[in-house]
Amino acid sequence: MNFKRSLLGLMLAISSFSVVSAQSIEEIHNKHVAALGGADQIKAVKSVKMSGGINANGMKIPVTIQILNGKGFKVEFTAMGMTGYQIVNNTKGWNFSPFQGQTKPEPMTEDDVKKSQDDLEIFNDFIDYAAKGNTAENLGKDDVEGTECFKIKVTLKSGKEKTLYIATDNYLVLKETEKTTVNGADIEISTMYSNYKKVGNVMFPHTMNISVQGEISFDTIEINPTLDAKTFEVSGK
Amino acid sequence: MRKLLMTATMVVAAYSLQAQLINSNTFGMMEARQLGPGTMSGRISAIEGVNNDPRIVYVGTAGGGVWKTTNAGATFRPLFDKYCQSIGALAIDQKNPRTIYVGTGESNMRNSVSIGDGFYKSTDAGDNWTKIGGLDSTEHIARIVIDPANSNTIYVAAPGPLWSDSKHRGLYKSTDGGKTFQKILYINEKAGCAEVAIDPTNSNIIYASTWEFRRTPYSFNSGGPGSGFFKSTDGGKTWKEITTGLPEKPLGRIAFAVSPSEPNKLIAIVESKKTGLYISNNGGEEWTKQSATLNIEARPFYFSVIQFDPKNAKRVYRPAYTFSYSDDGGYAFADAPSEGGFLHSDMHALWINPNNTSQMYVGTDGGVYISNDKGANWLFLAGLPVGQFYHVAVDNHQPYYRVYGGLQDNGSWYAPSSHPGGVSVSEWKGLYWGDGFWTQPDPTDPDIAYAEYQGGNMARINMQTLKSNPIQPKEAPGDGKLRWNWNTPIVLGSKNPKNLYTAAQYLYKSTDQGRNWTKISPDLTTNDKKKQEQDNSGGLSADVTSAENHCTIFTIAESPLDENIIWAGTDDGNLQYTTDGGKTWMNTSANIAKAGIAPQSWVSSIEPSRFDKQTVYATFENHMYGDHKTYSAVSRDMGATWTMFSSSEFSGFAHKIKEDLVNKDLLFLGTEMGLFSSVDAGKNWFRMKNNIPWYALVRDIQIHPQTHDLILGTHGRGIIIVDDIRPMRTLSNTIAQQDLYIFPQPDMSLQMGKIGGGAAPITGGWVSGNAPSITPIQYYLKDRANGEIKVLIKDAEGKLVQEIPGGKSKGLNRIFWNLRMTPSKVASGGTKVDYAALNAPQVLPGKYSIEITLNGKVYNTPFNVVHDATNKDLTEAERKQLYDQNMRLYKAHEQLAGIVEGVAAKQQVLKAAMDKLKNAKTKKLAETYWNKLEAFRSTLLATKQTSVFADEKKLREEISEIYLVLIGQEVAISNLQQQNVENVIKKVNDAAKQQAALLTETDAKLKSALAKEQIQL
Repeated sequence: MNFKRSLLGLMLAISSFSVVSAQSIEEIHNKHVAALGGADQIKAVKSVKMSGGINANGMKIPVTIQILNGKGFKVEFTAMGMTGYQIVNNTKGWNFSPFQGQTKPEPMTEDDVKKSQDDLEIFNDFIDYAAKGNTAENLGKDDVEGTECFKIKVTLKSGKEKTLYIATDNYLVLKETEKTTVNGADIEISTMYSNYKKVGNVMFPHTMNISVQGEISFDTIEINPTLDAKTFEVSGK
Repeated sequence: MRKLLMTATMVVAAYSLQAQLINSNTFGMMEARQLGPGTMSGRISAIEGVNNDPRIVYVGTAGGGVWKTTNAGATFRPLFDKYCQSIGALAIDQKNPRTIYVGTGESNMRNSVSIGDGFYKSTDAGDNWTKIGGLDSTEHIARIVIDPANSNTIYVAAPGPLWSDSKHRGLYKSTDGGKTFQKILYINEKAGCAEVAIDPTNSNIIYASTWEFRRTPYSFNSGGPGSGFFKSTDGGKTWKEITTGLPEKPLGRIAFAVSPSEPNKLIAIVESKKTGLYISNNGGEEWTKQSATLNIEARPFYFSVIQFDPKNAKRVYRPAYTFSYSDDGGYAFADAPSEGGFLHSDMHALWINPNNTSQMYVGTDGGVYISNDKGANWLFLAGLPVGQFYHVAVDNHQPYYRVYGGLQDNGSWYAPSSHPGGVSVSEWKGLYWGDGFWTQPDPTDPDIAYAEYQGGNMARINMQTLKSNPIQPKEAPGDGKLRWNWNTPIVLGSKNPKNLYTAAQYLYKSTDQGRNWTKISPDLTTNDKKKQEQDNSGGLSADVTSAENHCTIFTIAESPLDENIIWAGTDDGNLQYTTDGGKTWMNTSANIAKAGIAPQSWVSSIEPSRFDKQTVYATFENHMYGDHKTYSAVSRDMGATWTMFSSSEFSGFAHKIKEDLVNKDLLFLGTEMGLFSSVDAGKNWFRMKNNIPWYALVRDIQIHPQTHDLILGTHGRGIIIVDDIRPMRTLSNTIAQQDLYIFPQPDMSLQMGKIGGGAAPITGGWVSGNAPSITPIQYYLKDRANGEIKVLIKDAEGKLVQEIPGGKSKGLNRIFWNLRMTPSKVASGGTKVDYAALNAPQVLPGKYSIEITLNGKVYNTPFNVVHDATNKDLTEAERKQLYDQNMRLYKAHEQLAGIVEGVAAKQQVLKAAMDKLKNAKTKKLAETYWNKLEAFRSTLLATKQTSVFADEKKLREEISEIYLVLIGQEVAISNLQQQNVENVIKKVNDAAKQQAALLTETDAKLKSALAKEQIQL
């Protein structure tokens, strides 16, 4: 990689007459889509099931995430034979955490459900942002833990703001920060993505580090498993 | 041709490696801690709130950037960490409050004011900023006003440079939202624009005051023919000078305000030979002088705010030396009683909530306060760590060293570098008053510290009683008047810590804690009489505070290798040394000039090398002559020749150079705009960005000899600590070319941190995190890792102790091993969380190794885990005993997990069988057996608890109860704990027997019954 960059540097120095312009947001978008596997391949992914675990003190706490694109999100944690979950669909959501002594799923507030709707998307909000009703802005380049990235700010239809840091060398998302408001206070969540591997024809990060919560890594990611709407419901609620 | 290109590429590649491998990003994971304090905060220069959501308030500071609260001051977060830290003005477009403007360069023109680098805009409420407008050379911006009728029209009042003539001053106007500006009011190169206001009902009416002012290192002048008061009625195209009723020229600084509710009413404080308060009732056409209190007229160059209540033209506020208010339009003023506590003096900013004018925020030399009763009483907001330290010092206090320093207008303080729960505002203890500068703990006497206030008023302070005794040397016959710098050096010997030094124009030494002094030098300054007219300082208003004292010694350093070698630097260009303890002195100033450093520069710091007597580093600064370049240099021949350091990374004039204590090639340089480091003896430099504001005003730098921490004294961001910089000592350009490098792992002491967790959580204000309680594992990656990185800790036999997810960042990675094993398997299937599943015992002392695999290649490094000999409650033998008992319980958990699994598996088979059984009797038999198993299982772990507030305790919980206590204690196991262990282990063994009995006896009977139905158990 260094070699390529140096070569580029040399070429830029030689061709001092050419105007070096910043990449447009469209260019970055298209290269990012291509890096993931292409628009068609991305569109073909309608659901995913990701299985892995949270790493803590040398232990791995099993985690499964299931997403039916745009329709439902479910994450399950299993520890000591107990399973907790969070479910969000287009209208409702539930939390169940037996670890904290809950004996039944507790419904999420309407506001929380609304704010979580973007979690129902398998891919990030920059992809096809215009079609999704989002806006995107190129904020130039920034360094993320030693890696040069494009800093892209995406404002969702809902008003939620996310900043994606897309590595300039491979056009994959390295970091994402999300600002949300909880009772009027700004909270920022940041996620680092790494360990990208191809699943089918699409690149998926197999490791995520969310703020200070620790690392989640996925051993298997299954594309288009059969998931029906019932997966994202809590019966009788 | 191809070959040629390849060679060229390799040359470039080789060059890139050298130049880029170690840079600002390499040590990004070595995140600095901002220690604060919020206790006394620092100077505030601007406050603006969002009219329609007054919980959102932006604060501009003198040296700490821009901060934002979204909760009316409960917490603040910094918005400007990548930009210039000196803020002059803020403005919010109230029609679209996500648009914010920042004018950099504070305009409270005191001696220590810092400059700005232009004008910034954010359109997302402060998350991202763009520098626009081309105002980069204004250096100081006093006010930004947005036309309430048209958000694209913006006025910027720029007083301009303080230390030099400049065309970049005056009143600027933009009509395109700040993209471009035109200068619309300009007097001359000496006078800029100090204030601007717009008639809220008529955008064509603009008022502006111009101000002539100048500082030199030895004088200050406010006032001159360039100062004036102007009005425009055509949006700034033409101007008319306002004079009727105002005092005779020359004028100085004019602070004024237009009443928002009755825009024909104006009020002004006009500095002149007879400074006074003036009011106008006809749009500034005519003025009437009012009687005014001392506070109204005091120090007009420094206090430039006067404001009307947004709804009531009779209510006027004057935040200045104290906080005054008037209820009769400015005829008479009263001072705030402040029953809520001390309101810091010296105020520079006021924001009044226009929708609830009882609520207001004031910015002082000591932070931000909020009032809910029209300024009568004030509540301090302790979440702004923007203190302005001049110097920082450390001691060797245990368990954590303490940090000492003096601050602008906020005295001298100290605090622990770590504390249970974090270092909060209440951990900072005041030592001395006034403006604080050098604050030095006596390394030979833990009860003593030395501190001072401006002009060399120094004292020896007993830290137990806080009683102080003055120790400032006095002139002897023939000495003449002693000249003490505003920031007089108080320095302890680096070689002999019993030596205490201070200096006026002469250098003084004491070996008895300042009780007696010996003058050990002649006048080391240029003694230029032209630069000694400080008593006339101020201009129209006298301002003699010692801030302009000149021809003084500013910095002193004893060689760490020889106490007879002492270096002294002055504020007027001399750098002198003695090699015989002060008998003879050599002036090196001519040699310094040869290296390209301006001859009259201040010698801001001297750092004699600890590796070579002949080597000395120094910083020089010439900003008081308008030259802000970064001057730092090294001499390797006792000052005979100097080599200046240079780097394209440098910004800001230089305050301090520091040589590392271990690696002579590792250098740190603190400037008015950033911290820089070199790992190759000054050949290449990079800006430190690891949670250090990129343009922090770094005044002083220390390195702690025991903890290897880098401690920064900043003038606007308090104390900043980078914990344990040992990786910086090790990482050379050669090592940096390796794909992965594991840094030598120091011995890890078996302890659970040096301090406890503290009591109740801290209730508010700025809280700094603590130093890591465990020595981190650190490795370097040449490139970002794309795959997974696992760090394995192995014992001496190569057995895996714990697997830790590793960082993948390019550059330094830092992870933590908790010195524990992998947690044991714990019985599952209950209704209660058992924390034994997430925790494990600490390992035993011994040899271990760190193993990391990258791209198929295995890297490892050995290290030692050692017994903590400082712990008197646990001998090494007792530790072994405790470990053995922990391991018995660890295995007991595993044994129990096996039993529960066996029972549950059998239950599962039975359940399946029961569904198929046809014979009612057999079915009953199976049910009975299942119930028996369940009854047994429910004695093994909590299966019934349905609330976190219940506390069902069965065998698993019994094991965990003692286990979790034992693995978390750092004392020997007690007699009853031991008994408890035996008891629990016996119960587990009994359970195993019970299980065996249950699985065989009852099993046999059922098996034959099931066999009849062709079902296998």
